[in-house]
Amino acid sequence: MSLKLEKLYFRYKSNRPLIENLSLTVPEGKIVGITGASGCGKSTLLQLILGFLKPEQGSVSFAEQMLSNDQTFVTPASRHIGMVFQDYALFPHLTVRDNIGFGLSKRTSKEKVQRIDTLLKMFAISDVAFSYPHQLSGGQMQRVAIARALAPEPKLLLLDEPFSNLDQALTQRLRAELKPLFKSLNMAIVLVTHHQEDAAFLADEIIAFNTLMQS
Amino acid sequence: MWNLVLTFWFPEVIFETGFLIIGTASLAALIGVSLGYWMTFYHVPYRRLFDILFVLPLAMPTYLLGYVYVHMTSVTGSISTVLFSLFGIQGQWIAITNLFGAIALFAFTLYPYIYLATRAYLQKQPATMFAAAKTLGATPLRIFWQIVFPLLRPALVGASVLVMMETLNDYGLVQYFGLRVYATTIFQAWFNGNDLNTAVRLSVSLIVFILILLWAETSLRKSFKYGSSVTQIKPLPRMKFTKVNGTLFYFVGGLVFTFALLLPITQLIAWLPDVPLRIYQISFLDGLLSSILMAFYPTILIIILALAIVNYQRLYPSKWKKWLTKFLTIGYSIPGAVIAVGMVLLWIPFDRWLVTTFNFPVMVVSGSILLLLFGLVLRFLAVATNLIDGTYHRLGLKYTHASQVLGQGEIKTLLAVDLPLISHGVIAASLIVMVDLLKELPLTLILRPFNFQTLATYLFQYAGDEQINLAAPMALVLILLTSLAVTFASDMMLKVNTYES
Repeated sequence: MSLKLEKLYFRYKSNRPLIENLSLTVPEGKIVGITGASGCGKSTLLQLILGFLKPEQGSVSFAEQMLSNDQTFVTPASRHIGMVFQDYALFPHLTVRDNIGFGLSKRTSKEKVQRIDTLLKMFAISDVAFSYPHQLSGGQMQRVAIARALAPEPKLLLLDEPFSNLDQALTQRLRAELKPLFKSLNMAIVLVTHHQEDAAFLADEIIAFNTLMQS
Repeated sequence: MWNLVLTFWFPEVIFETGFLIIGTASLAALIGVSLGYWMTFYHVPYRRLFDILFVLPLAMPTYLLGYVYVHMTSVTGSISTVLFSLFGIQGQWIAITNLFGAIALFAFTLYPYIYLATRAYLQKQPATMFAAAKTLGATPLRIFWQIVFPLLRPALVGASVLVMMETLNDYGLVQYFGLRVYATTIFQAWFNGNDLNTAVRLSVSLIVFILILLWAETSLRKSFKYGSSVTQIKPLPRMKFTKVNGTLFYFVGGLVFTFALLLPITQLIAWLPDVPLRIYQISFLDGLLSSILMAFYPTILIIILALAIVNYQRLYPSKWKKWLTKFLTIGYSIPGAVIAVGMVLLWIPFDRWLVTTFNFPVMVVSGSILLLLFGLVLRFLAVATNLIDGTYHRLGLKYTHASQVLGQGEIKTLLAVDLPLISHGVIAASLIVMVDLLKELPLTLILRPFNFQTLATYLFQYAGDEQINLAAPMALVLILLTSLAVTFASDMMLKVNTYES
């Protein structure tokens, strides 16, 4: 079950291409860190994988299923990809429990409750299960965001600058906690960051964004 | 009739319309900017109360103000009587049924648009900039003229054009005052002259006039726009009123409150005891029920359409959809009388086709309430679209994207994520559309089915019969409904920011 990007080409309106001839393969069980300066196109790449943007040329596929090329386009809602947004995007009107359970609408209520409880325990956030996002600390928000992304058991996880809103001490602690967890999940994981240190700590392979386009 | 209109009326129509809208916008700007400036920069006691009071005149239909003041300033009216008993001034001393009277009344009810724009714009300006001016020795007056006013110009131009559009849309007041402006001339050509062709030509020339105005607005806004030179915007520290500023604030605020609300409402209440029971039994209940229905159903339809349009453009942006949204926005700039002409031109041939082709026994659309419903939706869709678009814009796409990534479709995302987060904006948009629908007159007058009367059309009818005093219950309940809606809407707008980034 690997993520395959082949010869992607994308530009905003008539500007110069931001992504040109980009290819990448991320196999199951591997964490790939993509690094690059702000504005180089890292987040745009994630948008293309998620289906919020459509590539002008090239293809995106996962587990042998074509997600987007010139003939096929699978909507973001049907791609089953887990995503941790840079600013977490936790729904402010829902409690931690409801945020985590949001992507589980197709499961029975019993299954849903079990899955939420498992994740609350796994991320040590049971004590804030009924709190709202604005009542959480930065670290708690981050854990909820990852728990929410993992709740529907996706086979591919994308992380967009996951530590950019946290101070250094907290970043170091969370990174250490998350590394064994990510490894145990045996998923394809793409981590996008402009902090070399984060990528070096978490990823099995680090790729500079610019080199992706020369392959 | 077109030749007659073109030769004899047209220059007068252009002059009176131009004078009316420029005069109204100027006076409204003077009131709105002054009150907005004082409320932003100075400590005002009971701030929340003043905030509501200064917006409340939006709830007052201008034509109603005109009907009441004409009665009050007539020889036997209350103002004339009081002046005679106090100062011995006799006779009809103030002639208000002219361009100047109309400008004053329009400005009293429409200045809140400029007041709100001024407040919103000035609150976004960095406090450090004004502090810098003060440390350089600038007086408050110099700060106003050299910093506040130039910065305010883009917002001021936008709000002034909105005031002009509202003035152009009115029919009730300009007709009662006998002014020869676009709205009255279109009605006159169509109904008195029975010449739809001339009404259409006048409407087209008015649309051209409006497009020029909108183009001028866009160009002026662009040329006045400055980028912010600071990144952190802190709230403005408020100053204490000086004697002059304080006196002027209470004088202007008091003047507007007295003339836009206090005097007309007091007069309407004073008329209540003389209103015969039959008015309550027939006109009042009938008008109230029709008005509530005409405010409720179109609002629901308008909000659903606006949500669909805004979401479609926001989730799948494209150039043609952007133009479509812009085109729909123009709907609000086009006066009710012109939309009515368009509706009739569009639907009557369709109905005739149904009758001749399928032997329909009646004119399905043009003989029913559907025609009025279509017209109202077209006219007010832009109000809701703009407000909902603004709320969505401030919220951004992140929550919608998060929901979609978690496997939820567009409808579920709209219902479970978007709507709870933008509910205040949607409620405010619904209330503002309701206020517009309750006050609406020209479209209803033309497109309503036979015998269909709202509170607004009853007021028009009673005023035409010189019996506005008998319509006091209708007027008061209309003001009560619109006032409640305006108050809740401004409250909702303040709460809008809770979840917005």
